[in-house]
Amino acid sequence: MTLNKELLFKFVEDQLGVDTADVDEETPLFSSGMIDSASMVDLIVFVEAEGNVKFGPDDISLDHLDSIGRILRFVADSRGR
Amino acid sequence: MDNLLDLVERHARSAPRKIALSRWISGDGFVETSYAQLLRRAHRLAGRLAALAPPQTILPMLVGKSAEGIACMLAAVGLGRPFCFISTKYRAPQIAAVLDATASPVCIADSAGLVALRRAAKDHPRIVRTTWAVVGKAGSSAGDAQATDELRAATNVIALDDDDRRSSRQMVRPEAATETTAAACLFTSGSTGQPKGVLVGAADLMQRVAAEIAWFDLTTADVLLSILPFSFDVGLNQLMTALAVGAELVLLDSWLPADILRATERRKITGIAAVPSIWQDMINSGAHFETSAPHASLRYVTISGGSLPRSSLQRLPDVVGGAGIFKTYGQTEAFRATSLRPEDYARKLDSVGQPFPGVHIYVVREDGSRCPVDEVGEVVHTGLGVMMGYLGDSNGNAKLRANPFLGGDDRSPLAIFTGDMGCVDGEGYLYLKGRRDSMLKVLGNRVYPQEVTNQIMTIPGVAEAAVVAKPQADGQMRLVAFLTASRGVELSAATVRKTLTTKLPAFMIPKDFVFVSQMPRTTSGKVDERRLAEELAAVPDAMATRPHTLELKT
Repeated sequence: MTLNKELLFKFVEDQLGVDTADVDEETPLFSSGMIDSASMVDLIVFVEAEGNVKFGPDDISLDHLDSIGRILRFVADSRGR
Repeated sequence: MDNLLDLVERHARSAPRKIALSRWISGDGFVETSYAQLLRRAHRLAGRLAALAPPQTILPMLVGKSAEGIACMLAAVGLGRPFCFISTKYRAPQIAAVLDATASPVCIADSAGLVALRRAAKDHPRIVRTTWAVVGKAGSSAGDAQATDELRAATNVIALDDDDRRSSRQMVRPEAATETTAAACLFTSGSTGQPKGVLVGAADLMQRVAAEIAWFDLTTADVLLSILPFSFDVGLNQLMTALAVGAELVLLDSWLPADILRATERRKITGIAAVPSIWQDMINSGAHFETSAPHASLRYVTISGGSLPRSSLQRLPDVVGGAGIFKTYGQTEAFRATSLRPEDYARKLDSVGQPFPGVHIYVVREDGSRCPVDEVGEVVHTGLGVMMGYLGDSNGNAKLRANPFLGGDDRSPLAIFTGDMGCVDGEGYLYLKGRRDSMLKVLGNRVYPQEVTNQIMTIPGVAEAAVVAKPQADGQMRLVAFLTASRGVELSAATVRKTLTTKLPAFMIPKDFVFVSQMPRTTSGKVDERRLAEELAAVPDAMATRPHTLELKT
């Protein structure tokens, strides 16, 4: 399974319960308060499983997680390493 | 007494290039604002706001941690108008309630504020009637560009010009301020289910600032990390103390351990104020500060706005290295009541410390008499930090009473009956022992279950609802909603949850939705919340992650 934009939008919509009609790839999800901090664990578990990547303690940063675009870039960069 | 703008002006004169604010923009690093730049912005905004915002009216600001938002606050201070930071975690119903309470025809918004408004805004007449004065570079992400467009279509949106290149010699002429003038208004969760505005007096606000500067030994050399929002009294006071003393405030939108460590290393942070859930995250992730290096700058941290379990308190010194730990306790209605100093931390681990300078703390029985040492009663706060009152209707003013202990060195006419239960030991250290009412702390935020229940009840198809909390092993509270559907209606937890995301801040949305065929009732016919809490206590934590049905024997 490869993680892509559609899968991430669907996860945010269905599992995190956010109406994504006006969310785009760069909309801040956590820093904007749209998603509460407790949901981050669920999101990380999902991204690790679907994207076949591992978040080290230093990787769990809003730079890598605050928007769908940032998550996808992190996953792409991690694969290249 | 000098107001905050006077103090910023002094710093801008003596050290114009000194950094006042640095904000971490993901990907771009830190964007710095000097004292001179901040003052210029504040003056320019004051010129615009003088014409836009009516005198004697609270200026609401739906802004994140932005330099523009802070400049607006300073502009309001300069004009002598009370300011109010609205939580960007609020959703349209709470934002509308705040606007209603302030009766302001105008509200400031920045990019974060526009995201908070989102699409639900147009369904609320109070939001549509408001003039939205947008500061900063709104529209930089497509999300808030869309929000701006939608808002523009529905209501009056104006841009407050914040072009740094245009010079301005705008004079700020404050309206006459008196000792009894409110300077700020903070909204907090209310027992009635509506956010309530807490009015803070101008003199009191600056006295709090002075007390905190002395308590934490702050100087112009300090660099403080701002994680908490300015809509929260601890976050607001940290902002004000940093600017008052001429220090640097580092604005961080993240609560994540890796981000906090990185910011501390890169900006050489000396002090951090955080709520228990942030420290718990840090403990859980195994992250820690290296106070030999690279975090040698870190001098102190605070635990504010709730408590940590004992096992976490014991581990925290390892996490923060050599930095001192201050525990603080207080309420929005009375600001900081007590603080435990680093030198007492190990010895008085379970205590929240001794009264803050200028504060008197009493523990009282039901009949109003004072409890002897070690006896639990209600905590009463007088002196520094006592609010002027709630904004608008006096509902809930039972909390604010004439000071029954007036006399001697306690000259405070008013007392706050906090609703917190506690006791004082033989050495004068306060220990908290729960609440008199149903108030909870969720991720550092105050929550009254009624506020959540009220919004669930607005969802079509919900017949009855009750919200109870399940304490977790890490000391955090997990909100669980019990509901019954109207006859013949099929309602899913997913639908309820999704609808609530437009109605409540994320931290108030229950983690679990439990459908029951019938609510248990007390003999008087009310929903038996105690019974629900007992049922819940018997359920293992892990099960609660997905929708389920719990059978109640009725």
